[in-house]
Amino acid sequence: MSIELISILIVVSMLFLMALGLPLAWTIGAVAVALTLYMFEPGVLMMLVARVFDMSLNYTLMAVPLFVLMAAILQRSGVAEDLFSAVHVWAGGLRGGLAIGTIIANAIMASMVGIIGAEIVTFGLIALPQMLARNYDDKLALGSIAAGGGLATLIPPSVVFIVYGMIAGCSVGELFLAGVLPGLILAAMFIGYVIWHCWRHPEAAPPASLEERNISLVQKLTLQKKLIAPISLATGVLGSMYLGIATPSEAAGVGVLGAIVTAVINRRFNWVVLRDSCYETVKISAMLSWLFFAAQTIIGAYTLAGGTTFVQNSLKAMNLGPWGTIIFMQIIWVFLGCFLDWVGILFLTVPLFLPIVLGMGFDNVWFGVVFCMNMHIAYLSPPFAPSAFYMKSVSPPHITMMQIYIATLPYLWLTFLATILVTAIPWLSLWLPELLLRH
Amino acid sequence: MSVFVAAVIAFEILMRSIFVRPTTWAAESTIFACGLIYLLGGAWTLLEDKHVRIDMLYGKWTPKKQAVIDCITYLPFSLYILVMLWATWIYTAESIKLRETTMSPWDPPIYPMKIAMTLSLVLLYLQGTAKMIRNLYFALTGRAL
Repeated sequence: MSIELISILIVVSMLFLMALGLPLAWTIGAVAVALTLYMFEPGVLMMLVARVFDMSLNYTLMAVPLFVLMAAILQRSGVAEDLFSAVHVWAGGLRGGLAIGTIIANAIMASMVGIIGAEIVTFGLIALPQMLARNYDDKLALGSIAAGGGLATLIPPSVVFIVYGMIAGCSVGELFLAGVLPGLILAAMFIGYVIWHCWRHPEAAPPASLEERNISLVQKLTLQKKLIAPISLATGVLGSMYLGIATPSEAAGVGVLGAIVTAVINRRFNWVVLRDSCYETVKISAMLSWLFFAAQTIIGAYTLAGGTTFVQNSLKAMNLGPWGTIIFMQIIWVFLGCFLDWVGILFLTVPLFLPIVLGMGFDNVWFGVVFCMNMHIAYLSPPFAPSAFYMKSVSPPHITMMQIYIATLPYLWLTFLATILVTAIPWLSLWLPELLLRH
Repeated sequence: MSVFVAAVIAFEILMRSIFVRPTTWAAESTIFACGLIYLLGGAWTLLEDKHVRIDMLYGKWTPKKQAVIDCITYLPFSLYILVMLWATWIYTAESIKLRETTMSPWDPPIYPMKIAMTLSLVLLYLQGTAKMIRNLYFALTGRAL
């Protein structure tokens, strides 16, 4: 059978099994095994098993469960409440202050948490009731949380970057640094939008009541004390990584310890919190790693069948030029983003795209940030918009899925804009890592 | 099943205390601990239905239709797990025969990890089959088992 036919068969059978609701990991694995049995002798299976086994003992992969555990503990530690109250006292008099405060608190929280779900759920529980109680427009309230939570992917630590770094074989530390500036730009754009929206529609965001605004400066400053623990935690984790004291995996371990300390300080630490956090960690990391394993089998088998060369040649034959190819890849990502989440997209496309991109002289780390930006879009783009699902899970019942989709739309367009910026100006993502790590 | 999870969690807690004391064995043993989490956690994650799936169509079906389809997709699942199990078993047996080690300064034996990988595939298959039987029963009788 020719490689063209095989490629089509692989795609069709994968889509078919996925549509039937078979979990992604088994879908990919089953297709890989079928391909291997059909094309090669059984001995090749040993190679696939060895690939899977090596993956299970991968040092970088270790950062995933640790960062997930850190996020899970922080989510239950009351840090988010502290952050929110410390930030929003300053913005009380401003129109839309709560929404702006939410985005800023989200950005700070993102420097400790690398998972979108954890952010949206936490702030959905803390900030949403407050905004609705103050008669904020539903759209403004929902959008600022769902979009602000997405900053977790760009601002380090980020699980998306760890997984990308493993597949792409580039330094997770550099990826983390590269994500900082685009993340801040995105946050600034979101805040700018909120300010602009409140200026156009003053009724959307009533200002705080007088008694709430009349907090003395001393009281405001006292509230800032609560920021000490989370901020030192974030600097500790990221700092140790950039000063070269710790690898990302070790930094994640330190972070878990720090998260526990923070929870203890806040008197939120108990056996139930630890148990639930551990349960969540096992589930998320097992889910991710079995996807990894399956991806290892399909990549191995497909490469051996000549598939990678085939994809590369056909992309080259399209004659799009380097930038054309990059744009084409992003269109594929945005399209897939409407139906898959980042895990699926990463495993299905990046191993195929990366050799082409590197062959054209583009930077590995930059491509990672571009990927991450596209996943940001994927998080928000309906019908399969994980951010909106997380949002829905913590919203009051009268809010429909449709309302959330509409609320996130302006942020979706802003993310598109930021993606174009980051793609067109590699300097935005590469400046920080070059300054700090690549001399 | 929960015994395994408890063991995995014990490993996790152990891991953190290890982290502050860098030694020759710390890095490798934590990697092993994490490897165990992924491998053995797979079956539990399946039990909790936490493996990502695309529910564009699936989510819209009735529970009965979902159960029927799940019974059908059990076949490709079995294909993957059983073939991998067979290959992993040979891979593991070889390693046991050689008493293979990791060749690092600490040099622990590696074959227990390979046994864990085989075991995890067995557990996954058992869990998958248990689920299939439950689905089949539900599809046929309309009652949960």
